[in-house]
Amino acid sequence: MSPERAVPCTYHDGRTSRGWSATLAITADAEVVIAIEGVDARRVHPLAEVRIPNRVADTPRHIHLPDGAVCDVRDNDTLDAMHSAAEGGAATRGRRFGRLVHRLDSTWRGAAAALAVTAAIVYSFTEWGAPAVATLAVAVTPPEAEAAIGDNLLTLLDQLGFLEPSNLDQNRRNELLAAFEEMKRDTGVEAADLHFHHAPRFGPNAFALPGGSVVLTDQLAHLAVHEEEILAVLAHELGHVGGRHVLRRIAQTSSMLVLWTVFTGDPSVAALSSVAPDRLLAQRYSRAFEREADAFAADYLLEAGISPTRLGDILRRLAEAHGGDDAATWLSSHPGAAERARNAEEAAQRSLR
Amino acid sequence: MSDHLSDGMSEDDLDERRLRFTADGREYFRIWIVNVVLTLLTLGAYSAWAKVRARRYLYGNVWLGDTAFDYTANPAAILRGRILVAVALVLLWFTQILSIVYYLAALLVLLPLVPWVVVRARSFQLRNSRFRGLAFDFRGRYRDAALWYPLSWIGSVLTLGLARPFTVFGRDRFLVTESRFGRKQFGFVGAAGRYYLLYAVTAVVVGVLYIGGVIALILAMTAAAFASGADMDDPQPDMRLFLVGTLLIVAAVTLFVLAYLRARLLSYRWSSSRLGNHAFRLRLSFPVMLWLYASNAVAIVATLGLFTPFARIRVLRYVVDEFRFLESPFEGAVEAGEAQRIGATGAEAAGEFGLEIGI
Repeated sequence: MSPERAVPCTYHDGRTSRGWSATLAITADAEVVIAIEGVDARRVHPLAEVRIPNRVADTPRHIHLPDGAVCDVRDNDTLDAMHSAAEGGAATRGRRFGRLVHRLDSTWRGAAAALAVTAAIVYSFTEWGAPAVATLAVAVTPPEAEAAIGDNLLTLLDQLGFLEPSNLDQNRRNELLAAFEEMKRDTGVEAADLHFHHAPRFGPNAFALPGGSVVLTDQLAHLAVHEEEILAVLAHELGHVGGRHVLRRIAQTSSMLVLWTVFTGDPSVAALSSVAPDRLLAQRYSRAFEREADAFAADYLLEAGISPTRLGDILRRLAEAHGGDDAATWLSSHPGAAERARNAEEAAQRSLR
Repeated sequence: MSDHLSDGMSEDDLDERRLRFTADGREYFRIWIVNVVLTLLTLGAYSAWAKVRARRYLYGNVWLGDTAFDYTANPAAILRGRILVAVALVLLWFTQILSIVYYLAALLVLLPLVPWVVVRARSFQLRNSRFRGLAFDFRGRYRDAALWYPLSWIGSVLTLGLARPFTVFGRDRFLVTESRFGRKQFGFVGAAGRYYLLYAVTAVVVGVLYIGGVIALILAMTAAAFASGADMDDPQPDMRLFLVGTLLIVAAVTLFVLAYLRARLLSYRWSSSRLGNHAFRLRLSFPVMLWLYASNAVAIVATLGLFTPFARIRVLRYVVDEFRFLESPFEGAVEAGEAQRIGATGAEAAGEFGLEIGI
C-alpha cells in the first residue's frame, strides 16, 4: 500500500484552526492516505467514508474526513486523476453529474451551449409558454374576481379625476346602449356594460376593463362622422372583453417575471433586468390582442351588415388626432393604424366576394 | 468612535490583515449560465444545487493568509427548505383568495414561525461556512429572535419608524453576538446612536431627493406643456415625461439607500464586531458604492440580465478588498487554538431543512 502519486495538502484536525502540511493520496484499493509532515502520523480511511466535494472551477477542495478533520487540496487535476483511477467505472451518479457540470462551466464552449439553450427556452416560453399559462390563469379566475378588479380600476380612474360625467345627448346615448345590447346578444359576449364619460385627458378613446366595463369617451363620439364608426369601435372593445384580454395580459407579464426570477436567481435583479424585455413583450402581446379584437369587430360588422371599413376610417382619424401614424410598430402597443385600416378593408373585400 | 477593545487595547495594537479575492467575472459567468440552464431544465429543482455551486465558487475565492473559505451546505436540505417555504406561500395565497378572515388567521399562525425561521436560516448559513476546518455557528434563542423580528416590526410601525434605527441596532447585535467561530464567540461594541445618525442622514437626503425631484418634474412638465404650444387654458400634462420623471426619482432614492445606508450599516456592523480580542474593519466609500450600483444597474438592463454575474463579482471584489481582519498578537495566531466544541457542527446542520433567507 504505497501510493505512487500524492498531492500536497493542509491538514486541519477539526478541533483547532492550526494547519499541518501533509500529503494526500488515493490508492488503487480505494483508500485515502494522509501523511502529516513533521510528525510521524498517517491517517487511512476507505474512500467511501471520505467526502470529496465536486470540483468548482479551480477553487481549493476541502476534503472532509469522518471525524471532522479537513484536508485542503489545491492541485485539483492530480486529485481528480487519482480519484478517477481509484473509482474505476464505479463513480456514483452524483459524481458523474458533478464532472459533467464542471466540464460545461469550465469551458466557453459549454457556457455557449448553456446560453443557447437558455435563449431557446426563454424564446419558447415567451412565444408559447406564457400565453398558455395566461389561458390557464384566465380559465381558473372566477368572473367575480375579474369584475372586482375592473370595478376597482374604474373607481380609481374616477377618483383621480380622469373620468367626468358625459355631456353626450341622452337620446344618442340610449341609441348606442341599445345597439351595444344587440351586439352583446349577437356575439354571445353577455358580460359587458357600456359607460360614457367626458375624459379630456384621454382624448378620443375607448377601452375595455377586466370584468367587461367598456368606456367610450365623448371625444371619440365627436370624432366619428358616422354612428357606424362608433359601433365598429365598440365591437372592437367587445372583442377585448370576450377574449378577457386585460386579464391575459396581466397573467402573461407576471409569468414572464417568474421566468426572469429563475433566470437571474433574485426577484429584485429580475425586476431590473426584465425591464427592457418586459416592455417589448408586453407590447407584442398587446398588439396580438389588438389584432384579435380587430378581427372580432370585422366579423361582427359583416354579420350586422356594416362595412368593416368603418373601423379603418375611425382608426385613421384616431391616429391623426393622437399625432400621426405610429410607424414604430415594435414599440407600439397597437399595430400601426394604417396596417389595421388595411386589415379592415381586406375584411370588407372578403365579404364582397 | 467607541472602537476600543474590551480590555484597554486599541486597534493600533492589532496586526492588520487583508483578505484576498481571486474570483473572476468570466469564470463566474460560466458557472452562472450553466446554473441557469439546469435550473430551467429541471423546472427550478436544480436551483438549490445552483446556489451551493455559486456560493462554493465565491467562498473558495476568498482567502485569509493561505487558506480559502469553505461552504458545505447540502443542496437537498436547501431544496427541502425551499419547498417548505413555497408550500407556506401558496397556502397563504389561497387563504387570501378565500377571504380576508382566513388570510389574517393564516398570518397569525405563520407569524410565530418567523423567529424560528430566522434562527434556522442563520445557523444553517453559519454552520455551513468553514475556515481552517472549523465551522461558524449561530446559537440565537427563539425568544430573542422573537423580540427583534416580529415584535420590533410592530414597534417600528407604532412609533412611525422612530424606533426603526434602534430595532436594526438590536437585530445586528443579536445576530453578531450569538455567532461563533469554533468555540469563540463574536462580540459587538456598536452603539444605537450611530444607527440613529445614519438613518437621520438617510431620511434628510431621501426627503431632499423626493421634494427636489418632484419640483424639478413639475417645472419640466410645465415647460414641456408650454413649449408644445398646447391649449393654454387647459394644458394637458405629458404622461410620458411624468412616468420617466417618477422612475428617475425612485431610482435615485433606491441608489442612495443602497450605496449609503446599506453600505454604511454593513461597514459599521463589521467594524463593531469582535472575535475575542480580534477585530474587523470595513470602510466602504459612498462614491465607489454609488458608481458600482449605478453602473451595474445600467449594464444589467442593457444586457438583458447577462451582466448579473459580473455585477455580483464587482461588488464583492470591492467589499472583500476593503475588509480588514485585525488580529490580536496577544491572543496567539488565529491559526492555533480556536478549540471546537465537538458535535456542534456537521450532522445536525446537514439534516432536516436548510432554510435560507436574506437577513
